[in-house]
Amino acid sequence: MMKKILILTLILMLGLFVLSGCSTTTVQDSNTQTDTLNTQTAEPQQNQDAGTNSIPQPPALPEE
Amino acid sequence: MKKILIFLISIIITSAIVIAGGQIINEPATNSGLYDFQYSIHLYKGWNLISYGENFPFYMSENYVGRAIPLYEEVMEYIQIPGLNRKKADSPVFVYLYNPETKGYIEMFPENTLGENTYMVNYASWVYVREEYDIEYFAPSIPPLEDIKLLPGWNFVAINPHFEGNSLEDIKGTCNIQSVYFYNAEPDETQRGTNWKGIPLDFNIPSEIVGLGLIVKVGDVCKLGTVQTIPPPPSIPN
Repeated sequence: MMKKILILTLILMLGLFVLSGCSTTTVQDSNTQTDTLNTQTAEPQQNQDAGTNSIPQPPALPEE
Repeated sequence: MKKILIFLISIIITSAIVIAGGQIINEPATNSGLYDFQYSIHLYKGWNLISYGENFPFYMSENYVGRAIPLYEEVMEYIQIPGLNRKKADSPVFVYLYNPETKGYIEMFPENTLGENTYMVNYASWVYVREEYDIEYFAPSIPPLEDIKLLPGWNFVAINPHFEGNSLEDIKGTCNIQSVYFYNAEPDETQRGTNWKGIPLDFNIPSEIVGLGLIVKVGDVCKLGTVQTIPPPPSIPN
């Protein structure tokens, strides 16, 4: 009986270890994804700032 | 009080201009009553209100001014970009004319929506540049003031050599002028949003602003021209 409880505890601990390991990986992955997304979002903005001008509109006439 | 106001306005206007004016190429007396003029203008970054020249901004070439103009070179580089790759927004200069009939703008550059070789000699135009430039350009066949027709509402009027030394009171012709504004394009004024400066009708136009533009509001169709003041008849002796 004692042996069974010990084996079960070990399996549980192993399971928890594996789960916690997976969750850590998930967090790391999501961080990586976020970084990638941030990079992807930032790149076009930099391009936009560097190369795109807007078409100016003439000033409004004085109001009378 | 009014004299002080005019003095202050003249200081504001003339101090705003680093370079404006130009030189006469042909006098009206020897050129069928028309001036041929070469404007010399300092353009500030952003919008400027200046007299329109023939085929502006193309006639800034060396043939006309005797030296290369950086803005002209940029315009030439821009128009040489093949059609599909040429982005309108990347133009080094934007030019608009105001149509008093429709009360809207006509684009003249980068896209000429009025047709090639259109020369609106009496008009002032909006010119937008991305940095400061000194430019010179040709304005041939400037007619007498009597040929400047104004329509009801705002009119963009070129300050041509006929204006120099005269007040609008002197040259209002048949016009009942309601208001006149000058656009001070200096960066400080642009930052404060105080570019428009009202001008009294008795303000004498100095040579420093010949080549710039005015907006003139009138109530009816009329023509500018020298006003001949006829003195009243002599009084009858007692």
